[in-house]
Amino acid sequence: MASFQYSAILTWLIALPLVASVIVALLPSNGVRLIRNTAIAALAGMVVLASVAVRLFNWAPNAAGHFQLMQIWPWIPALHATYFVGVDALSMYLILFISALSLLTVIASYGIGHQLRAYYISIMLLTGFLVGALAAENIFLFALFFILSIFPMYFLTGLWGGDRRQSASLKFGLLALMASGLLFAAIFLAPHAAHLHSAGEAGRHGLSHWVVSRDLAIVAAGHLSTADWFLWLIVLALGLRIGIPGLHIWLPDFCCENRGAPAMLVLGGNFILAAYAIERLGGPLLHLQSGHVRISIAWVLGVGVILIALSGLAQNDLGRLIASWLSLQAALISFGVLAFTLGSLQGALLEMIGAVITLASLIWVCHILQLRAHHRDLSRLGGISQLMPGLFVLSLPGFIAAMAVPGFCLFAGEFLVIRSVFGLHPGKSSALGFSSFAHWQAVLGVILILGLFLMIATLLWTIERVFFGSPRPEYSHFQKLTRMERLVLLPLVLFNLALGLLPMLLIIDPLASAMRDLAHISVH
Amino acid sequence: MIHHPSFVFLLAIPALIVAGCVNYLRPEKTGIAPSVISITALAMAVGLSMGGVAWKLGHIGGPVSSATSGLIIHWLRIPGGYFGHKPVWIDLGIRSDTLGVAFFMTVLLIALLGHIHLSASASKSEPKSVYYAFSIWALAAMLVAFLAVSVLQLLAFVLLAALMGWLMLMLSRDEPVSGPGLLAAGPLLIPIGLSGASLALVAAGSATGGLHWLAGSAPWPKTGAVMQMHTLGTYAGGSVAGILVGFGVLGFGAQIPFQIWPHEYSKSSPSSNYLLMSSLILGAAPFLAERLKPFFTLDARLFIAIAAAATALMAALGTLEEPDIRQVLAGLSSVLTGMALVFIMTGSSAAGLTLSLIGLLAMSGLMMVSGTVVHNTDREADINRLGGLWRRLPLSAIFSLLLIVVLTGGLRTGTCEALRLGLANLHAYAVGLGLWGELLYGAPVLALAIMTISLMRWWWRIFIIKPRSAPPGTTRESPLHTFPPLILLIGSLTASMAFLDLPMLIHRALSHREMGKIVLPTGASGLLINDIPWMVAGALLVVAIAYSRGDATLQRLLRIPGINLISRWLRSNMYVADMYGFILARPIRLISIAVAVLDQWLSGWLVVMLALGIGALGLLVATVDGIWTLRWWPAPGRRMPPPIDSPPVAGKASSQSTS
Repeated sequence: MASFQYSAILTWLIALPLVASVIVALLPSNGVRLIRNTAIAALAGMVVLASVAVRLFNWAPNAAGHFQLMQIWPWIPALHATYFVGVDALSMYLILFISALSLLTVIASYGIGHQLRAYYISIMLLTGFLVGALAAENIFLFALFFILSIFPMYFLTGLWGGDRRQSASLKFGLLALMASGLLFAAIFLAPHAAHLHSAGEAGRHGLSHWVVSRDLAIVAAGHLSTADWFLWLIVLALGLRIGIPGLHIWLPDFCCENRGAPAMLVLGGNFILAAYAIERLGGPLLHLQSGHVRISIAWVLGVGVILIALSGLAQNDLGRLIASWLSLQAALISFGVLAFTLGSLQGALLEMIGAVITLASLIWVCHILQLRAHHRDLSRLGGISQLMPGLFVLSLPGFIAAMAVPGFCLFAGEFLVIRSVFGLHPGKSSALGFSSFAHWQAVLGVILILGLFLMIATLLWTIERVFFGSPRPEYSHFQKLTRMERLVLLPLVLFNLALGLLPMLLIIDPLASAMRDLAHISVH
Repeated sequence: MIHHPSFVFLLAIPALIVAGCVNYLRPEKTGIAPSVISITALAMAVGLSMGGVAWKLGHIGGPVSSATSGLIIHWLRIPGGYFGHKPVWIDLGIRSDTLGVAFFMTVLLIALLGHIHLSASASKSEPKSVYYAFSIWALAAMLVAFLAVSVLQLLAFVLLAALMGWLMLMLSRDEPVSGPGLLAAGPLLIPIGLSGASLALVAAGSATGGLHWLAGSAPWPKTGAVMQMHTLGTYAGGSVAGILVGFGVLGFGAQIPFQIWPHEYSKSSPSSNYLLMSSLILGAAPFLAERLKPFFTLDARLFIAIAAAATALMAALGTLEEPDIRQVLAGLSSVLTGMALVFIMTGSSAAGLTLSLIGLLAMSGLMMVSGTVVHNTDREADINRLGGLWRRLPLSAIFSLLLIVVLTGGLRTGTCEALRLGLANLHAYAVGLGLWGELLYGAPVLALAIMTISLMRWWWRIFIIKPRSAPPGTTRESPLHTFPPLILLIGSLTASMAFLDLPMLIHRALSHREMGKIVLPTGASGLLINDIPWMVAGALLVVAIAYSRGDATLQRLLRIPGINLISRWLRSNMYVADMYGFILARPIRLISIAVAVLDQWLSGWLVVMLALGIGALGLLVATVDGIWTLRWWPAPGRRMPPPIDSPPVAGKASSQSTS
């Protein structure tokens, strides 16, 4: 076993923001600059530390798919819970991404005017919990971070959100707690896997909780009722947390009331965490189910895609429109995981990262507009390209990316997912597992495409309503884009274009072995 | 690598992209500087491309039909499944075949001249720098599409070109697009239609195992009906896929049911350049059709041909009473593209592509003349308020008349041979279809005749007829206004010279792909085929007679029952008041509002129900807990102690003291 497999660096990564939040709590409340600079320094340090971890990580094709930089401490033997952290290429990549997003969020938080200490503490706690969840290998530890991350999100929305922030945060809090409860219930409802949760077992077999979950599903396959319960609880929990169409009921208010900088981390972090869990936990489980279960979920999602696209078309509120779009992205990721081929999983991964970059752009643009116009009503906007050409220039790539136009960050992912929905070959076993229903599968693909059309049309119409036409006289006082606003948008534009132009170099190739291992879990 | 012709072509693209970026990052600049940046980049691109042509000829040293592919980048790998399928690469690259290079050079030249023409009309307030950025990016995307190595690259870049063109259009519009609702917004239909086509193709390719054809991993398809062969397995499935892809071509070419967008382009400022851009997009549609032809089954081809023929006829009729001089040209661009598509889909690709190339040159020249007219008459574009401009704009008058002759194939120039060849083939095809097939032949022939009359009316009304009052403005045409149309006139005349035999060159360039044989027209090959050279003279005569006593005579002619009504109906319903508003947009909008309301209502009530449920559960737990507490925790007979700080109850205290 190579020496790189064990390291304390992940613990440091999890601990750094948590310790920094304690330090911030001890600072005087009127030291605005000090608090802010401490938070920036802590999260910049985290990016550096994550980069060091990336450097330590062995990216060789035969090693990147395995868990590395592990650390194991016994914790609660009675619950088979261990402090067991480690990363494969996928988790490593996402940890670096979340660190960078947190740093961007803190830099963008210059406009926060009250309860600064609490704000920065919440941001850092959230970052720590997200990194913890991404690094956790024990399923109990993962579920713990999964649930802990809800609280900073709840406070960030409830204290620094919009006018209806309390309602939105309560709605999210309730449903996210419910999702976490379902996840815990799923874990405890699976007694067959429980013995594998101990650190000793895991250490001896080199198992992670994800592999445990696979074994759990295999064991459960012999007990159909347990498997079904487990599956449906997991599907419901993760679907609720990410906000797939039909279970997105918290998302519109949450998108509207989360404003500016914190929204980027709250919404983006939540999306990454839930999508990661879907890909890691849901995928192998779903793939081992019968074709009928998967086709049922696929059809429900397909209908949901149409409905959410129609719902987006009717929105006059930019925030709610972004929520519809985000829910559609969640559905696409779910489709990718349902198909569970290497291509579809890679597509879902590209979709996950691209969606968060695009989401951050859209949310930030929405915030900038709201700061000036004091509303998000699309029917009352217009002519922004003339009033704020800088905003138009820097925000357009985000809107174009949201439509999955070639050359921008969402295209490759969406392409791979859509392609996977249509299956590999009608004459053989198809991707969604129902070989005798190849034509129905094609119909499902067409439904998905129809939903995407509607969303593309809606986004084009949104660009028209926001940026084009004559500027309204009441908006003539609009302040131009400030330097800080530009500073936040610029890296997002660069990420967007880089990911769109070089998806193989930036994501697919480095993560190929990790995705291959994930895809092969259910094959062997 | 540097000796590869594709490399030289490839260098032209970054020059355009960089110029676009420079203009994009200075979005508010106006005046001559942004224009100079664009013109410089375009000139560099023209120079490099000419070098590319020279390299290509030197490199090949053989038949012009040979294609050279180079600089292929494996952009995205689509992994094989675990059922033994091999991975497929989506390729990006440059494939400099003769057809692609011909379109590349033509469009680049027109764009350069268009920007020079535009610089003469630029003012201190418009167009803004960002406008030039979108314009040049749209062009760059279209140029890459012409030299695409894979079908997916072709569709992706065509989509980008349409999107950039749409952004350019929307940027300088003061009025909203015509019609209510979403889908009424005409230009939106191009990207939407094209997205549909792309996705349909991808979907069909994926579902059918034909993805390697699309991605470029296999050589460019050489056989017909790829969809039919590699598909869901059935001819009908291939036809459906082909028709869906055909919608993308029809959308790009402004054909029914996507015909409305060029008219929206003409409503922006500076209108001539928008027209030019729409003309370039329209000109690219036949190229797209030709490239995607292997993916169409015979039924899909017939479907596209019928749609294009109907568009040609209806659009030509619609221009007969059109008052806006720019919209006449926009409508006639659709006619020209429709005819080219009919020719290509009925097996005469050489005729369709030749018509498209020469028509593109001539129509662009006319559009520039219309821009000159609008610029010199204080933005007056109403044909009823113009007239007698030949005194002020003599060179434009002469050039535009000659361009009309070239465009309509008069005096055996310009498009004449292409039209004759295409119509002859179409006649043979239509005869094969039976009685109804004759309609397919009749529509383009009639459209050609009406287009000729319409163009002559356009010219006569602008330059010749005595106006009721003097048109506004006093300025005369500048050299920058007259020079570009002259170049285009010379170019279109030269390209159509007999010794070049352009249709045959294009035919040779296509000879390795499926296409119909060139059937040279004979004396008996159908109505009007041999009368094309004289059609323009006939039209001139008709218009001259009609206008000999002013407007009244033509108006009387147009009052012939049917014609005027049809023309007015088409003009108002095809382009302005959208038919989509009633057919699609409103129902979709209504349904979407219903879904959104339901969604909001449900999400609100679900949470309320959840909260109520949790509350009820809490109450239940509290009740159970209370019962438990009453029964078990305080032992029977034992009373709960009173709270330490609770004040004595007044009533109880008094009653106790009383007792």
